[in-house]
Amino acid sequence: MDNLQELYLAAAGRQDELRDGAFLDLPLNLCGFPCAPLTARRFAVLMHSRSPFLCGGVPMPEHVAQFLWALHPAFGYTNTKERDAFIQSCGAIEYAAAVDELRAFIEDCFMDSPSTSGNRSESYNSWLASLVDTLAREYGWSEGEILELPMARFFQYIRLIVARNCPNVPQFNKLTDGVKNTFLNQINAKPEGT
Amino acid sequence: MAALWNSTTIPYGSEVITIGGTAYIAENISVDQNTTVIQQRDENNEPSGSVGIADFASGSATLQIPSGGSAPSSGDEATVGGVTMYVSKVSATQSQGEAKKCTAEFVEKIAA
Repeated sequence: MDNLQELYLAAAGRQDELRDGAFLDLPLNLCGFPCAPLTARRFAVLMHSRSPFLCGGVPMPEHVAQFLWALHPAFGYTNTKERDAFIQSCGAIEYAAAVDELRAFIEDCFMDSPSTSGNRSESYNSWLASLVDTLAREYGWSEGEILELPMARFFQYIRLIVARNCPNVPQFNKLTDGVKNTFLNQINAKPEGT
Repeated sequence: MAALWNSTTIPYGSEVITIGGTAYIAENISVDQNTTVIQQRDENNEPSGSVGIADFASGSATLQIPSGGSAPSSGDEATVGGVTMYVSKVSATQSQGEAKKCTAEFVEKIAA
């Protein structure tokens, strides 16, 4: 149990670090390349290009380069010359380590993503429209400002909006809840009377 | 991060409660000791007295559900905040990663 206490404190510290870090605009470096934050717009680019890092599937080396280009500070749809030079330079990346690093980065960005329930409903618009609508209505921010928000930041805003409007929806702390879950499973596995 | 409290168990700022033989971690626990007030007024409708009767205590909590477990059912018994209660309402289960949670409402069990 002492070990769980340590794990809990470590998880709580990491949670705070990731949440605060999302607001600090710290320099980001992935696989040795400078990167811009994963904003809603860049996330949408990756979704649109069916990146296996976000849409599921096995990422190949070209998907590593694709991901890094979408986060490159000079990313654009038309600067193909810079893109081609960048992709060439990605040839030196160690593939397996890069996949692990990018997956861990995405995991961190999505730590505060909304919880899910068993209820399924049809979608009648892009998720980007829902995102802009929710934040614009609540805070009055422009579409451009919202699309340039790092994902780790807007997930926290969405949490606050949900907590304000639907106070009965449970809130999650992904990292510390994971440790609590281990604890809970241990005490439920104990025979009665011990 | 400073611990809110630290016993020999893990759930900081929360409490383990057992419902129907399953342990849950309860957070955001709220227990209200309710009172029904009967107001007395004079012929001019001005307050002239009141009687307070202890009413059913009620409560609510967010419950973390163990892996492979399920949310409690209405009618299950639980001790919440030192008061023996019945589960009176349970929300749909939400999940994030391996954690599953629901909210539950409780009403005091009156010993016959």
